Amino acid sequence: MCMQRNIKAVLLFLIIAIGCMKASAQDAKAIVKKSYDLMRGTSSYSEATMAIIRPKYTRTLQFKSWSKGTDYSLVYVMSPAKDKGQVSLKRDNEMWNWMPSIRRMIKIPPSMMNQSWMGSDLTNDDIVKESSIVDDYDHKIIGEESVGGEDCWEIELVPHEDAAVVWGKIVSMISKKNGYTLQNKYYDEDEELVNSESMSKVKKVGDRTIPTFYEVIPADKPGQKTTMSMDVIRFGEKLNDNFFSIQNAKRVR
Amino acid sequence: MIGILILCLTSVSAQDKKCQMSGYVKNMEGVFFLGSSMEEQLGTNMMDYNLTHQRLNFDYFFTSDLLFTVQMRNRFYVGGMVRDIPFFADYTAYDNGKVDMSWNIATGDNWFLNTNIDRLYIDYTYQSWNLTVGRQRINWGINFVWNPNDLFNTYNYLDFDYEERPGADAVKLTRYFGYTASLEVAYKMADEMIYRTFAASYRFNLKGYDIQIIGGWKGYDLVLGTGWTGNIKGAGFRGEMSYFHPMTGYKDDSKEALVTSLSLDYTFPKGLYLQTSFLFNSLGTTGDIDQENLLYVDANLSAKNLSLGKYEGFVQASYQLSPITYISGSVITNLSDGSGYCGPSVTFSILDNLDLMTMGQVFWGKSLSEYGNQPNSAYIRLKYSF
Repeated sequence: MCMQRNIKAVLLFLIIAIGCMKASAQDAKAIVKKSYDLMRGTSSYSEATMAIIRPKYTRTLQFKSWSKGTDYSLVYVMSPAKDKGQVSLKRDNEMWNWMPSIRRMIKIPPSMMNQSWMGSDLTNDDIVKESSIVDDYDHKIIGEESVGGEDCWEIELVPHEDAAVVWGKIVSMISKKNGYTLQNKYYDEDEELVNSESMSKVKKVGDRTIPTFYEVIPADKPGQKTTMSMDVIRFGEKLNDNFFSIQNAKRVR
Repeated sequence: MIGILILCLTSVSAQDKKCQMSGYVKNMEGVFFLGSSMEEQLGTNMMDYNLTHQRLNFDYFFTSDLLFTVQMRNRFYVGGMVRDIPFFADYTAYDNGKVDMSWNIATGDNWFLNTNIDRLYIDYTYQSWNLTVGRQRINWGINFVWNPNDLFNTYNYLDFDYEERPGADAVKLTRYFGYTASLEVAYKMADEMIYRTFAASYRFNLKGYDIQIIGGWKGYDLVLGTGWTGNIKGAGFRGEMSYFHPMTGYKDDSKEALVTSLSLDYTFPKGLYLQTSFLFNSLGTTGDIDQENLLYVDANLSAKNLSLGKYEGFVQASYQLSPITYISGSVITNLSDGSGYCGPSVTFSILDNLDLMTMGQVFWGKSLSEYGNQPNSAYIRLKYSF
């Protein structure tokens, strides 16, 4: 009798626990998706300044980019002068680079997505966001913490086995109240911390409020970091699919 | 040119973006180490030149669809090489376009100043149409070293300091279809028939491959070709093939030829980039190279005549050592006579707009080979871009 009651209690506990876990997994994914949509929008235009900071020097890059959903993006380099006018176009899984000085459109093979973009700490893949933080990962809420005075969900993202992702896992801090991400920690497959990314300078941009300054610090390289400041952002730009064409990649400025 | 400057200045003061100006100033020291045969002729085993090279690019947008572009380079050469090699200055002034736009505007005993306009065109876009008239670069090449599909403006890979590569005096009409397809027709003008080209290309994207089919006439030949770029297991796979057939009435002036180049490139996760390329040139030789021909390599360079050898190979490795240091090395070899070239280089960014590059060009091979008699050389170059 006592035994049966115990079993019932255990079963009830399991049902509730599983129900909770399921709800939490769904919530975690929804929270990540909300943050992603907030920062990216269905379509957007932005101008950004990137600084590559090393103990003895700093190099800066400025670029404009247009994006529509996750499938289309176009990036135009504004500076430094020697690279001005170079364009990267991404459509679905394909990517091209336009070199205006020699009038050549170079198709980028998948392996070249790993290559440093313009000599920066970011890769081609980071720039055109080939892999999706929403679809290529499993998400789980693992805690709650305060970041810069805002209460955040601590969410663990583990990539799907077949996903073309270099990270072993990512731990994100996402604001409970405002929905944006304030911190990402990137780990390799041995669970060693590789990069810490933090976001700040929260501003109202059009119809939303988001961080506009990103800082990436490699774990094992003291004095190094890469920062990106979003100087202009506009969401909901009306961009025709034709904007992301070979013809426009040669013309955009 | 002055008109453009005035247009630019007035538009800058009007605070609009109708005019764009860019360019660079470079200074390069080149040192050549001569072989024994040249040493006897010239009485020295070393020669040099110093090149100050200024480039100006102007774009003027009458409207967002109508663009006028002019780009020029001014080069000031000074050094023993200018004095001791009599044809050096004349060779630099040579322009094989329809309009001669390269001038040695001042010359001295061991120096000269050359001005060359290598882009001068009007570009008009109407919806999915584009028309470009004037001296322009028409780039049909796909590979990085040898381009059998580049029917209009072949470049010499070893001429590393000419970063923009030559243009062609031409009219080009392009019609775009959808997002990635296009049909292009172009006519390159020249006084001599051998330099004229009239050809069309159709480009499209199929299952992750960009493919082009080209056809037309070039010089005395009918040309048919194809090129593609795609990937095999993540590695870039690029190819170009062109077949040249002498037109009726020109069988004595020209020979049939097939030129093919294939290449593979791969970027490793840590950023190391490797590339290999192969060229087959049916008019090339597997035997001794007539050394007279070496003198005219640049003048005779065309899609039909990319090498003197029949089979050529290329390997390149490059690596971004840090955000400011880029290292690269490439090797070209004539696969029949074993002669070759090796070009190591290091590029160092001193400031955002200031770069220092050092480069070597080392050649090897026996006396009647393709690369064996070229002098080894070393360069150091400072470049300020604006």
